[in-house]
Amino acid sequence: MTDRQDRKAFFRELGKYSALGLEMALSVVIGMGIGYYLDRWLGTGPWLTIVWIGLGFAAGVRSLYRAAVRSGKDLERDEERRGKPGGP
Amino acid sequence: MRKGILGLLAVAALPSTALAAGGHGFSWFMMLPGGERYYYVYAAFFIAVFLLVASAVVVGGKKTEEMVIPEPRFTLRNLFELILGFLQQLAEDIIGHHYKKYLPLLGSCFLFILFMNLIGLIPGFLPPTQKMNITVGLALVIFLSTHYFGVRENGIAYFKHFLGPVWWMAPIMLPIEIISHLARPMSLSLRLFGNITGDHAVVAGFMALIPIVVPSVFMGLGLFVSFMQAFIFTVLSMIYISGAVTHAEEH
Repeated sequence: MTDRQDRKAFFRELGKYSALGLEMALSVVIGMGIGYYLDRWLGTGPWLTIVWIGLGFAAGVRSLYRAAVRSGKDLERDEERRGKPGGP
Repeated sequence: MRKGILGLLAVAALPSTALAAGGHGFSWFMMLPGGERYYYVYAAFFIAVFLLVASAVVVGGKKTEEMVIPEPRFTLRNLFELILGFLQQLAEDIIGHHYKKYLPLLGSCFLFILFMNLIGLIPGFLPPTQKMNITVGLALVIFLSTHYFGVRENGIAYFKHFLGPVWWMAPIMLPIEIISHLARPMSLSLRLFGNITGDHAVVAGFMALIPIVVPSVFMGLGLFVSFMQAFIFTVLSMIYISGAVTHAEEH
């Protein structure tokens, strides 16, 4: 493991986490949009909007969770590679 | 050393003064028929043709054996090989050992976005990526091809992924997954659009205040932002594709 590979890992993580904030915010917005138009179509008051905002928030948390799991796995693999003598 | 830095500064200040003289919000593509409204389409076509011609010049008429030996000087071919080598390492790291199938899409995406961002730094041109139409189109290509790759690799089982790990959670997981997958192309396009527009606005604003040296600093920032946004777009596409392609083994 060299300095160069550390830098690559840094860039990879940077790209991943810079995505998260916008993705979480947009999940809520998309959920709200779907709920709003479903409400207008079905005429069911504010209820579907509220439900879909909750679902959108859950989707945001889901993408956060997905990124966390992925990142943990990547770091684990990097550690493994670092420990191996003569590895790439 | 000192002289070199001063020279660099002078060169960096030149385009900013030229732009200040030419005014902001003008692109040469506006001269073409219909260019007043659709100049960004012309600009994007121009970049595409430029990349095609550059690739043809780099590869054209050479045999595979000749391509093995690198050229001694810094040429166009070495530049492309530098960029693509970096992307290749990154793709191998993120997608895994069968990354080569996806590299043509990702590599051309990176170069296309990079040059579309960079053309905005030349006075007399506006970056096509500061139009939402272009960025949404790019993000849609990535979105559709991600799901196409997922179906191609995993068959119908790909859609099981949307239903979550446990069967009784499927009615909740399905809308959640759909929302989080829809948020991806939106965030991709919005990030690229917002960063390039913001950077251009900063340069224009400082150009209006102090048109001599100061804007060149922000042009340097613009160079960095152009690279960074193209890079982030590509890395995120890689992550999405690897998520669609490999989840059969993960669960």
